[in-house]
Amino acid sequence: MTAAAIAADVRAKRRSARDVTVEALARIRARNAELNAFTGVFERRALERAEKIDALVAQDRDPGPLAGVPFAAKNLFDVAGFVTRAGAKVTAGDPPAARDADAVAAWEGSGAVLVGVTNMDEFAYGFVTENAHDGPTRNPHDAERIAGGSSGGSAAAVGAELVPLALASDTNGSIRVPAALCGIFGIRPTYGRLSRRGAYPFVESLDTIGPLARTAADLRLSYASLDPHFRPPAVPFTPRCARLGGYFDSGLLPEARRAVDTVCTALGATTVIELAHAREAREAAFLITAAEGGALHLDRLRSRAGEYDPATRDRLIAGALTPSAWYLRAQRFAAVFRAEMARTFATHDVLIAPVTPYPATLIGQKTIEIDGLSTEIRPNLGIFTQPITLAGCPVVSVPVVVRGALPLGVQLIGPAGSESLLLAVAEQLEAHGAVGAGAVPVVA
Amino acid sequence: MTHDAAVAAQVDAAAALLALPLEAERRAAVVAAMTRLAAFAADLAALDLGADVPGAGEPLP
Repeated sequence: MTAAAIAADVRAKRRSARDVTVEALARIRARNAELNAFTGVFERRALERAEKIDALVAQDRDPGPLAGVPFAAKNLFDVAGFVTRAGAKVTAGDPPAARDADAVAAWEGSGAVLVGVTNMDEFAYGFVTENAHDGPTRNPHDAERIAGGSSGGSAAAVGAELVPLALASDTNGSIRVPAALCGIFGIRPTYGRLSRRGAYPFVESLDTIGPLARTAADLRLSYASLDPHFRPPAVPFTPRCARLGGYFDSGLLPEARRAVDTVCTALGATTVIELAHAREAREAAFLITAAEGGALHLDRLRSRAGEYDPATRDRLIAGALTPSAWYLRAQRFAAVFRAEMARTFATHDVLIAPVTPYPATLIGQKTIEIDGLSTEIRPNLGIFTQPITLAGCPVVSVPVVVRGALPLGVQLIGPAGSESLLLAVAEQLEAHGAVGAGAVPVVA
Repeated sequence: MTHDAAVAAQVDAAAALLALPLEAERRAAVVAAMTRLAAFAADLAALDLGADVPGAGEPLP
């Protein structure tokens, strides 16, 4: 059931928020052992919250546009009274959060009900959610495969229909990659657009937070509750769309290219353009991530490095040791690249590119063969999302789900502040049947 | 000094300066990660970014 339908039922007194919450908790109990999407479930808090929603409805007061909608939050969002682990063991002894993260508070202020927190790559540094402490999250479409990362638990929870919405974060692609691999919608907003207060930091220059949803309408509804400045597009118009070629059309499997074909055909996008420095943009994002992430963890790495996930630790240490000249060069290039992107958006409204070069790979798989070459999976899952990260642009990831095949995602990229346009384009694509979450097979 | 040796020397020197213990079994993985960063840094260093800082003459948003 969609978030919009649940909220409509609760507001109209056709269902109680408590019943909706009890059902969501039951689904989590039934499926989480298999999926490993949730690392914490807050049953008492959720039921108390749901009862407050029902009390408001009983008084004919409106709880808000997300009335009674159960949601999950990546476990880097503060939840009052609970320790924010951010997928790590080294944080387990930290004091509990004093207050909810702004995003959690915004959704609950709109009537939604937090039911639990979800698995992730440690400190959001990864694309696979194969967490050394909490285990791997499994893909709802094939339990032997990864859910993507770093917001893999949130994406699997939504993809498996345990909850209709989840909060996630995206530094280099951590909303877009798991959304694509789990066959759902996600949005990385313009850098700086949404409050990150109460979200465990990773890379200050690149971090964003945003929602995951199973439908484009739910993505818009949930995004609107996070962004006080959100307004639907005032006048319907046909956006000028172009496909990103060159860098974004190499090093990917044919099915990933076909997913982009599907979206381009639906949008009538026949123009192909290239971003001159896409490869360098990815490299700069990589450097900035390592340096800022490493600096953030330096104190703990000195004394407690052994408690980190090895997949995270060694890259953080290398980042902490990076010469400042490399970091500053990457930041200087970022300013140049943002100016190049702004010039591109003078003549285009939406740029179209794949999210990942391939669908979900097997848990534990290290390499994949593309064009006859063996390629490392972990760093390259974000090869198409990282350059866009550097530009700070908003991106909606839309799912292309073909029967009998694993899901893939396509990026709809717009200029800064164009969230409402991108969300409207996603809804248009879904209405035309070009994209959509589709049915999730029941995994054994 | 070869490039590989320079990367390893950077890792050792910076780790010592930052008082970051680097156990022997961890060092190889860190050097491998630093080697990748060095390659990316070299690509960015080779670009002509011009003399102007984009946006330098514009008011803050």
